[in-house]
Amino acid sequence: MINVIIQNTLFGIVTGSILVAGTLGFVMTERLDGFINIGHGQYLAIGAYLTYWFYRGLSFSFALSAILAVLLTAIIALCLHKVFFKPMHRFGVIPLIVTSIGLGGFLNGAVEYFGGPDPHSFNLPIYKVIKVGETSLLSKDFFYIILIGIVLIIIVHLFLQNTRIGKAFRAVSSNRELAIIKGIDLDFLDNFTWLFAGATGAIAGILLGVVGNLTPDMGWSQTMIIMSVAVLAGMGNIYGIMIASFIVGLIMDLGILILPSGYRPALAFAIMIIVLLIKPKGIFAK
Amino acid sequence: MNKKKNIFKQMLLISLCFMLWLGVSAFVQAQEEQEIRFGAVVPLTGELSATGVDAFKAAQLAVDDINSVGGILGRKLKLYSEDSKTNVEEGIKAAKKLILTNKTIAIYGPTSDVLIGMMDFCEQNKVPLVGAVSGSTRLDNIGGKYQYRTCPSDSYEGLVDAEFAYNELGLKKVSLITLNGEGTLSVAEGFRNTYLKIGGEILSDITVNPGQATYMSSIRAAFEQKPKGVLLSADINVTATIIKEWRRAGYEGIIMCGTDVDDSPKFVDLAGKDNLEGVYYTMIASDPDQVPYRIFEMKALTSIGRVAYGAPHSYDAITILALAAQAAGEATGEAIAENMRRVSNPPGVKVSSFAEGKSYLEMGEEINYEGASGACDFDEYGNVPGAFAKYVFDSNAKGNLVKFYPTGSIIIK
Repeated sequence: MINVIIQNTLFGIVTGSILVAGTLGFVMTERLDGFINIGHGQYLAIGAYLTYWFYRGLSFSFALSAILAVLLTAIIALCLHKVFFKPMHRFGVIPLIVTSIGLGGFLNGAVEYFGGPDPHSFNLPIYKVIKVGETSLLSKDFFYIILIGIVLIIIVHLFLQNTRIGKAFRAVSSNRELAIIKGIDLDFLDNFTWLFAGATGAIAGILLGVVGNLTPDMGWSQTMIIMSVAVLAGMGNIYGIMIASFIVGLIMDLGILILPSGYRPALAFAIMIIVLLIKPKGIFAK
Repeated sequence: MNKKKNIFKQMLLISLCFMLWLGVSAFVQAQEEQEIRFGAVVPLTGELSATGVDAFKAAQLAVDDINSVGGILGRKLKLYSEDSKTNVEEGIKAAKKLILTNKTIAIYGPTSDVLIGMMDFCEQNKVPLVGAVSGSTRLDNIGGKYQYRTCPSDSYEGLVDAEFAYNELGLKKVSLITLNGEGTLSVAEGFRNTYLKIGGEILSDITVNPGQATYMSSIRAAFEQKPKGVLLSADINVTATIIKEWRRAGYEGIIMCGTDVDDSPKFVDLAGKDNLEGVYYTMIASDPDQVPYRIFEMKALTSIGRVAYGAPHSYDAITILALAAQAAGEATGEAIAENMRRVSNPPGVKVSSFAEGKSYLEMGEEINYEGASGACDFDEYGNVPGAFAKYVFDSNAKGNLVKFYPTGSIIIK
């Protein structure tokens, strides 16, 4: 039984690592602009499909394909912000959320139009699971996913604590008006945050493509899980997100030791509902 | 004077153009009124599209064959197609468009869940609906008036899969991984019932949902008790993901897939060519020794390039609908529905093509169509018995026939 628990814990950490990448940008844009971008999940699909196009379509190396996809998705996220969200900002939160839903639907349709409705695969080599004695751990590529998650956490931590932009971000997210009075360049910070959201979303999408296949709806199917993580963390708590991602990942993958595995995604939604009922501001809210 | 001439010329030109337009419109309208319209709701994209496209080409082949001998009742047959995207909502929208806009009088082709979703609408509009790849056991005891299928029920597939696993592969203990979907649950149910009945033991019975990022923990649960084999009843996307994770994990044992996968390039690309060797899959099949199948096979290989899953059944669905209209003497959905059994069930002269059936009908004989897929004898619920075949992937990801199960060859008490 201990082997099973170890293995499912590792699966949970892999899931958590992908969720970290998927949720960070979602929460940072919410923190800065004050609305939840329902269409954020589409950045995952765009990143994954661009990688597929570069890798399988143009035969670039996988690393180069992934880097180009991350950069392009970041630019797309910034452009969408400038064209759709920024002009809507003066109308308040509700029109922004409605815009994000519409935009999410449009992006989903665009992914399906260009990528086709059929599933696709990166077709990467399969690495065997590493075993220690009787215990199966993870394959090499899955360890890389955990590594990417950890590196992302360290980068975000260093960015928030040690850079001027990071400090400006913290200032704006805690008191937007005061930060503006103090002369923080909100436009620059806004641009940076949306670029970051697109880039991290793309990373999450690529990692999802590595562990599974690509489908046009992969963005939507991850949106609710991303929101569960954000709600658990307390919207806007960046450090809470990192912990909450792993909690949700672990609950989903350890939960099926008790419940039928068909309930795996439902566990994430159950977390969201329970937190909303008991502590609506999230367990890591300040 | 010249000015008047120019105006006259212009008027003449406009009048001629107008007359030409009227003539063309009248001709097109007459052609449209002449043609008999069937509809196709088929999975050209989506999870079951790996086989859907080629099966649809087989239906078009039937239309060509029908038109090559003068069509139905002297009128050309036209097949209007809509992509169901392997999705119930899209399928219902497609049925509405085909019936209300395109005025089709019969529809063929939807997969199980799509067929169940659209069957009431078709019946309300008196449009017969014939499935060619809809094996769901939920259809075993419904339909029969406006709903038929030329493929056998999944309950037969369950018999075949269970017998093959237990007797041919010698697997006395297996696990099940089933995708939460109409057709896939139906296949698993058929397998479970039969496998337990013949003495097998199911170690883990796991249902997974579509759209999950990974299935790692589900696979681990399925293999935890070290089964010698796992029945994987899922669509191509989930099957491909699970096969890759199974290879990654290095679990021992055999994977047996349901009828949703075959050696189509689409599935092989998704699952990875190097990961498929030794994986078994099931196909609804035709008896390769029967003449109607061999004729169809020759045509399909020439014009399509392969005999895809459900292709003979698609060909037969269109042919039976056409013969029913021919026998009825009128091209309406109601008349076709009333004559489905008359042309496909005994008694009557055995025929194996539209041309043959049409000639006998014109001579006043009753006919019994036996086509590329088999006998096509509909029971009271519009079901047919059918044959199956088990295949295994070789090292080049090509499917090799392991065992053919003729119609009615397995009876488990």
